[in-house]
Amino acid sequence: MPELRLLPRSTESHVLASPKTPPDRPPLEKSEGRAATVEEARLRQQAIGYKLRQMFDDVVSEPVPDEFLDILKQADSASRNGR
Amino acid sequence: MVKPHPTDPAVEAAFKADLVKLIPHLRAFARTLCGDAAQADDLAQDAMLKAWDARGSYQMGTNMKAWTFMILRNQFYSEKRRSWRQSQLDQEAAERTLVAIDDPSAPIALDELRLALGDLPDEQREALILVGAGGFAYEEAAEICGCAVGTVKSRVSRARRALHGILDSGGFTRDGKPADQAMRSILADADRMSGAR
Repeated sequence: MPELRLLPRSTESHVLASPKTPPDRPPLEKSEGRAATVEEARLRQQAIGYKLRQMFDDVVSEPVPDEFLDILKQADSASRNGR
Repeated sequence: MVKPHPTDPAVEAAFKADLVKLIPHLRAFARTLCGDAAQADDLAQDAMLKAWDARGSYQMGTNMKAWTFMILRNQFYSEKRRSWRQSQLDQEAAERTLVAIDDPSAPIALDELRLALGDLPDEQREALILVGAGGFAYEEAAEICGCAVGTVKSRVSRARRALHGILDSGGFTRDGKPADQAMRSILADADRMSGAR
């Protein structure tokens, strides 16, 4: 994501360049823009996280196919008979 | 072959009951790890059987979910090393996933995320799933993956950034819908859910 990758760099360059920043670009406006970008990135990350959990939980709540229990039952009785 | 210890039948029954309870989670981990539902269930079954065979080496009272997840991911990588999952298969699986959903009103966002997840390097995908969906702490995920906690943290953050980038770059389209619409739909869903909760 460009804004995420660029964020630390632009923060740094702002700090380093601040004495030379021309007065026609008020720093307040800049930081407001940055805050909006950060907020948007945060929201998107939240949305991705939510979807990821949903993807996982959807499978967790599916009924377990009988095959699983059959296989385990077979393995269990095989180990009993082996003793 | 792991030789089972001669165990108390009651202990063994308790182990089996706990293992059965973990099956849905093993299936979910396998599905998100390898994408294809049929292959994932094969993987989850193999992991379940391996856990059963290794029950003698499991210490009761320790984190059984983490233990079985470790077995599953090790199985995933050893099968993968035998080129069980090639890029060819990936392609087919991705196409099947897309074709399988023919309800036009179905939300497309999960498909987008599934494909984007498939594009991540394995170790990043695994770390993100464990921490972001499996409910594991970084320390537990590190044990499951056999790496340092800091490594897990950096993999998770790289995975998050990469997903964000993949979903945003318009790499995926479906039914003529561009990815920014998919992202809007993800956001709308998330808004709805956070409002509902």
